[in-house]
Amino acid sequence: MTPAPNAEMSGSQTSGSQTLIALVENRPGVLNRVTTLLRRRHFDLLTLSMGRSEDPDRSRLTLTVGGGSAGARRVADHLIKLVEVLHVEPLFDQPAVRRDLALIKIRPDAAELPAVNALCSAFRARIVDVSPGSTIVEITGEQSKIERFVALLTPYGLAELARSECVAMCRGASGFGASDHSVGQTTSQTTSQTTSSTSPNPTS
Amino acid sequence: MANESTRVSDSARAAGQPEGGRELTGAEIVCACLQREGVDVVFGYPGGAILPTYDALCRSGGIHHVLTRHEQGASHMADGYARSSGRVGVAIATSGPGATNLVTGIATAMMDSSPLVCLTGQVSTTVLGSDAFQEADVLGITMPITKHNVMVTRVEDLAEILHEAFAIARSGRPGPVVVDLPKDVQLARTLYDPDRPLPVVPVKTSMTPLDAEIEAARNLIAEARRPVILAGNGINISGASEQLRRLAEDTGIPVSLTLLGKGAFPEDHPLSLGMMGMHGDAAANLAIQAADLIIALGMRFDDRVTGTLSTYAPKSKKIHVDLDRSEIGKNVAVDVGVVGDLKAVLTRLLVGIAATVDEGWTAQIREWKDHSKTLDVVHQPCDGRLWAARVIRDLCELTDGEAVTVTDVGQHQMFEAQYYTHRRPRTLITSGGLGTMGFGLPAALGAKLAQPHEEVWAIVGDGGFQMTLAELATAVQEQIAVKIAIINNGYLGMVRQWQELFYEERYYATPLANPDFCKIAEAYGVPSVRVSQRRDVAPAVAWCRSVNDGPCLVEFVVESHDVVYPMVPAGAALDEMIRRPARASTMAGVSR
Ligand SMILES: Cc1ncc(C[n+]2csc(CCOP(=O)(O)OP(=O)(O)O)c2C)c(N)n1
Ligand SMILES: [Mg+2]
Repeated sequence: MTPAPNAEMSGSQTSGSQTLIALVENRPGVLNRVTTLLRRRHFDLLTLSMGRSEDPDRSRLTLTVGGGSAGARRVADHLIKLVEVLHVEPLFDQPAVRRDLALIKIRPDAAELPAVNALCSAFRARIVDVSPGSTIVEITGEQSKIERFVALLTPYGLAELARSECVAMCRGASGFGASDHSVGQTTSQTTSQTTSSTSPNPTS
Repeated sequence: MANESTRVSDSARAAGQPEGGRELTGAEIVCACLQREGVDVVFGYPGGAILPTYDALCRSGGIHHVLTRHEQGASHMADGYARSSGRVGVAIATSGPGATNLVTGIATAMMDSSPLVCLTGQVSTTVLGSDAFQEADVLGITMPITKHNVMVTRVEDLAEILHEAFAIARSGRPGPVVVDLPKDVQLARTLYDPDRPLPVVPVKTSMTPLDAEIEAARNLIAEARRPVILAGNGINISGASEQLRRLAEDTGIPVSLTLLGKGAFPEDHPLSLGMMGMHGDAAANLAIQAADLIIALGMRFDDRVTGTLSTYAPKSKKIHVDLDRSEIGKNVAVDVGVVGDLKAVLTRLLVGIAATVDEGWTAQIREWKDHSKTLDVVHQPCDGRLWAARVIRDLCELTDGEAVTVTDVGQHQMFEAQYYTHRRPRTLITSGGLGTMGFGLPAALGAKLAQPHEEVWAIVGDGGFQMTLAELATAVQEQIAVKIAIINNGYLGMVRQWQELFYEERYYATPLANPDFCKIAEAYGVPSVRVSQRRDVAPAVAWCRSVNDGPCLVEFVVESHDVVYPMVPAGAALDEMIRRPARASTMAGVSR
C-alpha cells in the first residue's frame, strides 16, 4: 500500500537525516536540475555528492536529507519524475556503508606533533602533507567519526577543512535497486523493465 | 514535407545513397519531425535566432503557423489547443526576449498538467555563454516550470530529441517541454531518417497497482456511510469520465469536482455536488467536512480546495488515486493511496463495487443543496441591475451548456465555474493552478483552432482582457470565430472583493479607467455589442452565435460591487464559509 507520509507518524518518520542514492544520466545540467528541484520544493538537503558510477553513461548521487523517512520518500518520489534521473533509492535502515572523506589542515607546534600522530593512529587517519607550519590530515569514515576527529584536532590550529560529504553503498549481494523502496530502473535492467516500490520483491 | 521527405528518401536509397535517409538542415528536420508528430498548427513569433526554422516552415508547407502578437499569446494558445483537444500544443519563439515572453504560458501549462512543446531559438553554440545578442539562459529560466527541457547542441541528435520532447509532454502526467535550438544547429546538415522508430518514454515507476490496493479501496468504500467522491483534472486527462459516472451510479456516492475537474462528471446529474473549495458550492464543502470517506480521484488537494489543512475533512478516511506518486500524501494524509491511470484503476475498482450510503446522508446533502439555492442570486427576483452571475447563467441556458468556455482569472472565472453547467470533459478551459490573468483570450483562440466545430466562448474580465487583448488582431488575421464576452465590472473585481471583505473597503489600485471596449473591437475589425440590461443579454448572445466567419465581442457592463459567494476566507476551515446575504438587495456595497 502506498504510504501516507503526512499521517501521524513517530519521530523518526518525520525527523532525522536519511540517505538516498540516485543514478542519473551523465549529461551536462543534470546536477542543476536535481538541485533546482530540491530548492524549489524546499526539501531539507543536508549533503549531496556526485561522481562517476560503474557505468560511464551514468553518474551516481548520494544525498542526505532531513525530514525522516517520510522526507526521504518524498524526495525520491519527486526526483524520479526528472527525465534524466533513472533510479532513486532511499536507504532507510538497510545495512549500508556510508563514508565521508575529509582533508584537514592544522597548524600544530612541533611539540604537539606526537599528540596529533597519536590521534591519527587512533582514528586511522593519515598525515598526507607536512610543510613548515602546516600539516594535512586525511580521514575517511562515517560522518560522526569525522566530526569527533575534527573536534579533537581543532585545538591544534584548525586552518582548513574540506569534506567530500557522504557517499554510500548497500551491503550484500542484492545491491542497488533490490529494495522495496527503490524506484526507477536499476543498472542491470533494460529500459523496458522496471522495478517499483509497489512490486513485491523476491530478493528482499 | 513528411510525404516529400519519405518519397525522396526512398529514391535516395534507390540511388545507392546510404541507408538512413537524406541530408536535411536542422530547421528542415524540425519541420519533418513536427509533421511526423501530426502537428497541424503552431503558434509563434519570429526573430533572428529562429529564422532558419521559420524559413523551413515556409518552404515545407503543411503546418499552419499562427502569428501571435506576443509570445505569451503563443504559449497560451498552444495551451488552449492542448487542453481542448488532448493533443500536444506547439509554441515557437526566438531567443532572448522571445523565449522569456513564453515563460508565463509555460508555467501556466505546468501547473495544470497541459502538454506543450515550446521551440525556442538560441544563439549559436559558438557564442553560448558570452552574453551574445539576444542570448538568455532559457534552460535555466524554464527548468523549474517545465516537465523537461533540453538544448540541442548537435544536429545529429535533433530528431531524437524532438520526438522525445513530444513523448515526454504527453506521457504520464502531461506537461510542457522546452527545446532550445541554437541557430547553427538549425543551419547544420545531417542525414534524416523519416522511418526511424519513435522513442518511447521509459516507465520508471509502477503504474499498475496491486490487487490488494484496489481491494483496500473497495473495502473502505463498502464500509463507508457518508462518502463523497472528489474528482479532478486527472479524470479528464485520463478520459475516465465514463468510469467515474459508473462509480457514482453503482454506489450512489455524490461527486464534487475541482475547478479543473469540471466536465469530468455531468453537473446536472442528481449525484452532482458541484464544485468544491474556496468558492465552491456550500453543499460540497459541508459534505467534505462531514464525510466519513473521501475518494479523491486525479486531484491534488490544492490549498484552494482544502482550506486550512489542519481542519480539512477531519472525520473521514481517505482514498487517493493519482498517476503521480508524489501527489499522494503531499498535502493530505491518506489511508489508501493508489498510483495509476484513472481509467485503468477505476475499471478495476468497479468490479464488484458496493456501497451502503446512509439515507440520512443523501437527505442531508439534498437539504444543503436546497438551502444554497435560496441564497443564490439567480433565484432571486430581478432588481433591474445586471449581475455577472446572471449573465453566465443566461449564457449557459442559451447555449444549452454545450459551449466550450475559456475563462480568464478573477470573479468572472468563479461565476463561470458556479453558473455554467458543464457536462463534457474539456469544455471548461481555465488557468486553475497558476491563476494567470491574460490567459483567456489567447487560450480560447487555441481551443477554437483545435476544435473548430465547437462553439468557443472566451469569458474574460475587463482587467485580464487588457493583458492580452492584442491577440484580437491574431483572431482577425486568422479569422478565428471565437466569441468574446467581457464581464466589465470596472474593477480588478476579485482583488476588490478581498479589499471589501478583509481590507475595510480600501479600494486601492483596483478601480479601472477602461477604454471603450467596443471601439477597441471596432479598431481591430471585430464586430461588437455592449449590453447593460438583463433583457439585452439573450439578443446579444444570439447575435454572437450567428457570427461564424471570425471573432465577435460582447461587452457586459455588470454591477461593480459584487462578491463571489460562498467564500472560504484564508485560514478558515472549509465549512466556515462567508455566505451570500439572504437577499440580493442587502449585498455588500449595494443600496437601493
Ligand atoms: C497576471 C496576474 N496578475 C495579477 C493577478 C491577481 N489577480 C487575481 S484576480 C485579479 C483581478 C482580475 O480582474 P478582472 O480581469 O477585471 O476580473 P474580475 O475579477 O473583475 O472578474 C487580479 C489582479 C493574477 N491572477 N494574474
Ligand atoms: Mg473586472
